[in-house]
Amino acid sequence: MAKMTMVQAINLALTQEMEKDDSVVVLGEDVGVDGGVFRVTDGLIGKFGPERVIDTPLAESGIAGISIGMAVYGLKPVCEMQFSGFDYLAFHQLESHAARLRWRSQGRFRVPMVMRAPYGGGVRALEHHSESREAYWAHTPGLKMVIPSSPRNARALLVSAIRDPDPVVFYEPKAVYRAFREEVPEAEETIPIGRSQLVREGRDVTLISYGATMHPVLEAASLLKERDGVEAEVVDLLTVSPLDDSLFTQSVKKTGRAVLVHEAPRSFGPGAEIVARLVEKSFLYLEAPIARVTGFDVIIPLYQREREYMPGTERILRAARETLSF
Amino acid sequence: MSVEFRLPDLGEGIHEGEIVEVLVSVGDRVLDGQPVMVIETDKATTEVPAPVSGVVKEIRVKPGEVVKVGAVLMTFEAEGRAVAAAPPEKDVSREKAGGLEAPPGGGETRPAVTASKEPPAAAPSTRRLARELGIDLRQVAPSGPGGRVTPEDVRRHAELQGRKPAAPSPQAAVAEEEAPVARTAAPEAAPAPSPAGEPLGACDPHGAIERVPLRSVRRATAKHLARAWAEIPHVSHQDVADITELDAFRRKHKAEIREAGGALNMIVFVLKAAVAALKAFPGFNASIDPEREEIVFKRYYNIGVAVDTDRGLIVPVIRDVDRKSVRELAVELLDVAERTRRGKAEREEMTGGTFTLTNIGALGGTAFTPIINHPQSAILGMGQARLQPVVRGDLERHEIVPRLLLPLIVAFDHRIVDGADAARFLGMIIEALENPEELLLVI
Repeated sequence: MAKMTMVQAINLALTQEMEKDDSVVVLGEDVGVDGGVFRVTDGLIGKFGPERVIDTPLAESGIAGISIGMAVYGLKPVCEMQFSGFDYLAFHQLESHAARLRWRSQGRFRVPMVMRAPYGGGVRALEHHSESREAYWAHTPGLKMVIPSSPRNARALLVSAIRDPDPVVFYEPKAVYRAFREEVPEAEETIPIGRSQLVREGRDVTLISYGATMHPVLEAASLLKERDGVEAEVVDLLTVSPLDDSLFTQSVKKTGRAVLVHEAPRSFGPGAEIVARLVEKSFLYLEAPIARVTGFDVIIPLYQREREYMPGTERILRAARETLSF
Repeated sequence: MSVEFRLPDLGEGIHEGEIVEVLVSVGDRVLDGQPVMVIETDKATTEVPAPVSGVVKEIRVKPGEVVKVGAVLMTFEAEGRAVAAAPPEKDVSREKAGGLEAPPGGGETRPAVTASKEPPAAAPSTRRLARELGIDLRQVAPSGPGGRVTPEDVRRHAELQGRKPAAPSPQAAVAEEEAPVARTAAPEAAPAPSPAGEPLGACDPHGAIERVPLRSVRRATAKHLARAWAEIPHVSHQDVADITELDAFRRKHKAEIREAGGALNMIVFVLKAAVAALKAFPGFNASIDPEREEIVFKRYYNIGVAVDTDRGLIVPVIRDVDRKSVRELAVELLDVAERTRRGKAEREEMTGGTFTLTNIGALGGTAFTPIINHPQSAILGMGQARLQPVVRGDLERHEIVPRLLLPLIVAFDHRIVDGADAARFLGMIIEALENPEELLLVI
């Protein structure tokens, strides 16, 4: 087993899937010769040639549309949007075609494509480079919305996404891309899409998150233990849609308290759906209002104010303590 | 004008009823006061009258459904201006449904449910606890921040009411465990005692089962008896009365009472004998007020008589037994027992008892364990009267004669009276029953 960054782990997933299955192709802006802006697709064009690793023009709608066409005709395209802040240009293609082609054709056509995009703040980037708008995709029936939080689960989830018979939007937290290394097994590993994971056991409060904010959440959980003697249970959603509510509702039945964390803007964000599920399924077990630690309802600020926007460890700790002392 | 008809506050701490029958259909025209549905509260069925004249617009309940006070039963399109000018709907329904309200006097007083409009502040988990313990949150004094009712408040209230905290639900039990394996396995699999009703399972590990909701009379009985058993330290005392002579007397006057519309059963005499003993031993006609640590002696004699019906055990109360003649009692008893069996007894006929009589004799049996009808302090049970050989005299000179013997059992609240009192109390009843002439003197 090698210790890898998330970038390397995703590269490993792509390489292995392309080796295994000739129908897997990669396309996007600069994914070929330049190896991608974060080097995620580094080396692929050398191994698999320009027919399977395609540099496209700067035209997101075209990238998505071409991917849909390839997918309908039997390929498994993995296209990259160079920053999620530009994937809105592909929104029409995904919403109007990719997400509903199977339904529209009564099952005759499938769209087994993956749209990868680095998302989220924390790397002091430009405008349109730091947003966290997974709710757009999660709100679209017919699409699956997956967000890994670590190198190992990124690799395992991407393999599942590529093999999925339907369109999957795969958001990669760029703040985690090179933040740390983790053991990633060389042998194939998959995580089923639509299943969340319990990453820390506890009995006092349930912390629910996914993607980049899993890291401040885990840090907050350790601090709660150290400083307050509080055992926080932590759930990593991994798939935002379809939302696996069985684990976190069960956990809250045990702890009676929940804090959920994401960096997307608060209103109508994924957290609102999680709160709704908790109220529907764990209502009588709640001992305190469910707390949300999220981004604010503003455009994510440029780098000087970015830290104020991001849900950091201190904000998570504060929310957890308020919930615990309710 | 559209009028919502809600289930009125039934008083006596009753906060729900089961719909037995809906007597009208959508589109029917009804008159103010016309019965529109039959509702069964704890143990009585009552016809509920329409609050207004008008057309039934919508029926929101079905027979078999349990509805809470305040729930909308049906809506009417009311007729006429007089109605439009009437006070708010809720008051209308309350006023008109007077039949459902608690009797204004008589019977022991219980704290009325303060039907405050605002729901009390409490976390959902606290609400669950209250629900499991059968506690009305509105009656719990809050001690939490911001006037919130805390789980401790609920538990304390439950203890005051003598209710044992329920066994922890599987979820709660799981929370106590560290084992990660149990965590994922348990909650969904093991059904919690949920009032919302679990899916009906077809079998358990040992064989086929059937789950039937605990409803109506069975439910009321279960709650009431569990409370009595949990709260009252029961002791029972047994003896046998020789009723040979009394029975001869009874048979002699049976026909005459029948003409008067009654049935001269042994119960009538036992009622009379019991009331005499209750007067002599007031501790058996009492209850405990736990909050004030006082014994409340009742200076009236209302005796409940347990009636076996096809809906379950129901206990109508014969009021002022001490002031009624044997003939009056025989008539009243027959009437109320028959109405109870048909489900026609009124709610107030079930309340206000000070002592209870239960007679299993018709079905056989000599000894059993009657449970006190909370909050009373004693209950008298009658077994089956049997003709038995009785030895009279002493070892030197004796004879064996056939006598009719009636087993009697008194279960009593040992907090109020002792075994010696019970022996004397039962002794007095037996004395009266064995000597009909003496009975004349004591009644």
